[in-house]
Amino acid sequence: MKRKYVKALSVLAALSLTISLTACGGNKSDNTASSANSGGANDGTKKIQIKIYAQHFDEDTSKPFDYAVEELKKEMPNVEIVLDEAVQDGYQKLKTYAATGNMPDIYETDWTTLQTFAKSKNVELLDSYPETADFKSKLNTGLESRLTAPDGHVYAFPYTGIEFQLLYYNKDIFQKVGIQTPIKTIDQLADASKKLSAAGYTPMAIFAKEKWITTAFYAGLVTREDAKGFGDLEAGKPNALPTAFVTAAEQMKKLQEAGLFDANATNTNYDQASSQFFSGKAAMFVNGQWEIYSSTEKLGDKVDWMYWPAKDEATYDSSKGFINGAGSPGGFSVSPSSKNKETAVKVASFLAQKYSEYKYSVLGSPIVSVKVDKPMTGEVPPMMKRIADEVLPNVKSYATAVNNVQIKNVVDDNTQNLLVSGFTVKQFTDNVNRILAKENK
Amino acid sequence: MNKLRAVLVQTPLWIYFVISVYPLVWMISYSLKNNDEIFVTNPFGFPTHFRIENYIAAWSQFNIPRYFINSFIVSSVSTLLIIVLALMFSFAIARMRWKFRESVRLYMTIGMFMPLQVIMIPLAILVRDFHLTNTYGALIVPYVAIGLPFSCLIFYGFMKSIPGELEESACMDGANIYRMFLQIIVPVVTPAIATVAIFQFLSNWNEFMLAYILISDEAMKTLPLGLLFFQGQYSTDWGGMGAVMTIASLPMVIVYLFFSEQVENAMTVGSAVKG
Amino acid sequence: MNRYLSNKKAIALFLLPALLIYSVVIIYPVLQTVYRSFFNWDGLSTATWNGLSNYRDLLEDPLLITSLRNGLLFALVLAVFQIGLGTVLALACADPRIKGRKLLKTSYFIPVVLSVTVVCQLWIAMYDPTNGLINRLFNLLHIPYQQNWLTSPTVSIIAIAFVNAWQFMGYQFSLLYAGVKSIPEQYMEAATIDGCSKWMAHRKVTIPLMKETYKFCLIVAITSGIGAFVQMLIMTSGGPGTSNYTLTYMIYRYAFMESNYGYACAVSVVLVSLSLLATVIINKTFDRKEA
Repeated sequence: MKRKYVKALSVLAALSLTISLTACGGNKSDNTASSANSGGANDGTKKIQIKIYAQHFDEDTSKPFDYAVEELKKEMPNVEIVLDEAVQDGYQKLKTYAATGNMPDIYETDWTTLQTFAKSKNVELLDSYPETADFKSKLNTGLESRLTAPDGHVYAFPYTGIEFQLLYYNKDIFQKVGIQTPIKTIDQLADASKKLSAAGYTPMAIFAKEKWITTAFYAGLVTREDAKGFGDLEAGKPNALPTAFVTAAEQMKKLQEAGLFDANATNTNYDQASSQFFSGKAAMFVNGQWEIYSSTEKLGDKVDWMYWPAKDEATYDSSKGFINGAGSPGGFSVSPSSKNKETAVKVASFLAQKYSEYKYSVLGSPIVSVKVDKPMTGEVPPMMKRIADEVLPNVKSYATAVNNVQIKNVVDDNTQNLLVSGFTVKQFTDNVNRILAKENK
Repeated sequence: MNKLRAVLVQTPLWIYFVISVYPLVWMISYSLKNNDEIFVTNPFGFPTHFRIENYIAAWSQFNIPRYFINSFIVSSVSTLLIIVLALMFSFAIARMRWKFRESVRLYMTIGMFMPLQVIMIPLAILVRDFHLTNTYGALIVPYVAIGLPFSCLIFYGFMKSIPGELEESACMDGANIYRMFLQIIVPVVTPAIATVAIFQFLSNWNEFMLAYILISDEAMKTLPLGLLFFQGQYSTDWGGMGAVMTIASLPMVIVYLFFSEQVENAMTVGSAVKG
Repeated sequence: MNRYLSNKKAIALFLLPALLIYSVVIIYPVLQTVYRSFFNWDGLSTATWNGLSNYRDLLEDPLLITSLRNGLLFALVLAVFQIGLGTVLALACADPRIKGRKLLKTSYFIPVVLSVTVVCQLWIAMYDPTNGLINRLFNLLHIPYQQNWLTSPTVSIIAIAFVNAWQFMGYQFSLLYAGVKSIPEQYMEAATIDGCSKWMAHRKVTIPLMKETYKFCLIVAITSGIGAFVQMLIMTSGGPGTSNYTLTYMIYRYAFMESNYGYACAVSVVLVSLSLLATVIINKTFDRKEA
């Protein structure tokens, strides 16, 4: 009797285990079969498979990728691209790939992650490859920091140039409310926000649920005072915020108190903020130069961008050429564990160049990493033309980025805090200084 | 008088009913709106214009039936395993007499508190070492392990409160321990089984993080991963996400409605055994 | 009887399958976490031993205070709301005099069925300071109170805790309901015959008999409060600043945003010990009441 039940139970346990195992096993064989099919080339020659982890989820990301892959087919017909779609997850999945030794041949990541990968040997040093020398020769002027890391190594082939942040405004609303343009000083901007609020507009839409945008805004003010920007939080190893940074924090607080930002700003996402601006509820908007396309599409010739305001008009004029954007390495990197490393490096460099080509010739964006021979075929929005004609030729300097992730994060946290009423400049400097003192010891 | 009292007692219950059902209605109308309607013009009301295109987009973006089947297999196999293993384990802890049962119980509790974020990478390595990468096992094994502490604790609570006489009478009848487990204890805790089954199935069904990290093969992906298709580089298609969430949740609501009937029945059976 | 219930072979057979899978998949990584908390490690490259220095840094980390305070608040809201309301609703739904019990009972569970993402999106909209239903409701009732629910560093954590409490109330409810149902009818009958009113009988009979269920519910509420994370991630991204941080949020930040895996492991150890401590205290308290 007893035996029988032991048996029954063990059969049950075994059964449930086999169910799960056969489920796995069955599918596993399916997988290998399908990958074998796709791997075998039809024409008999063996194709080299390159697995690439890249963003490919909306038009902004899929179009340049598809274009580059099509071009690659012409250039290197023996290479087959296998795409592993990346999403915006703070590179968690990529880090898991690294931890499990399952890196794709080519991947796309940011500088913070690249630094970890460099330490753990998950990124191939591209310094001595002929492709790198070639890439360097084609690089647009001023973009060295996009290709060569502060430690002198090359980790990735970038495809965009140095992107920067702009203040967009709705000309119609400004006219209606009677605000003089251009706004040149912080005081004028504070005045404008009061007028706009009184007229029932949200002065500036900002998607401050994402911390980087509040930091970008702050950086806009900092770079008026100190062209090098955040890099100076690291370069001289200061253990307290330099004056330029304190001034900028005071200015940002002043603007917040003048009502520039919505009370719900820190819980506003991109879709909400852009919708406020596009629908004419908000008079200004802050975002990168890439925003030019969608705001032109939505607002036509009503929208324009302005230079960052400064403490006075003289500073405003002298700082026009200080770009609120910093280059740091990023783009397509190659895994050292790739079985076809040589090919992967070639492909990575090629794809980055073709991305640039697409963005330049089809989208009309001059913010690309390498020089493009092809002419611009797409229609270039006037705001982008202004950048090409007015800004790029007059760039005095780009800001430098901060590499230390602790410093970067504490700045992110506290610029967001500056948008909350009641948070003081003193709290801001105290919080940042604590980390500076610790990290710059 | 009595009637008035009944109304007074019942009204709050029905108010809470509305608060509980509204999200369902909200989700469905959300899935039929675009970003402007969701955030600015009409966040709470019914959609004025039914944007079926959200569903069409969801359907064309990814292989919904495939994802659905994967979700179903993973959730049901792991739920089944959790229940069988947790019942056995809890029985040994709650009803049987041996020395270290309290320590073993505490040992089982630890897993409930471990945040997924930190065991994620060791788990991914484990999955690789057991050659489970991109198989159903990559999700089933972790789901079972993660579900166990919780389920064991529930079963333990229920089994602990079973009166001792039940066992004694079973013992008198000459039933052995396995038979007692299957024929006396398991039927008594049926309501708990139903509750655990629903809850485990749901949490496996909705699980996103592990599925995202451990599965890269298109053929193995589960439904929550469909949400990723609507996240753009800058902008997110919230209506499309709503459609995916509705596609994922609605069947669950229906299954639950069906299942809750079974729970009720199970309970009556359960008390009949007890009586 | 004793021999009957201490059948070694049967115990092993019942225990081992669960223990095996649990130990390999959960405990092994947990042990690794404890071990790694004594290292300076980015999660990928070679780790260097640094003894207790992660823990020393942790003591000076202002995020720890924020996280502990938020976790405690979160746990408190969960425990009071879920168990309080859950009990009332469970007893009401078990009462045959209430009409539409089946429908009510089913509906209370619906928020649990929906995914956390849906529920959080709903409440983000509800809490919106200008368009949100909550502030509008205050307006409608002529209560001069408006709040920036999710952007205020002090209120937002409570607001978010409430969302979690509300969503998973149905779960506690169904456990409590199952608990009520599993109490043999005769007990209640005996009590009512003795002249107790219905509510009195519940207080004297039903609730004490459900001790194990309550213990469990309390453990779940408190520990999930201490370990809360996803709601903050979706609803406020931990902000403004770091005001909505919890221990798990800290782990997420240090492990994935700052690649400081060893430190994140130390925070995990604190989190697990704290939860374990809470469990032991709850167990002890309940057991003492019994004696």
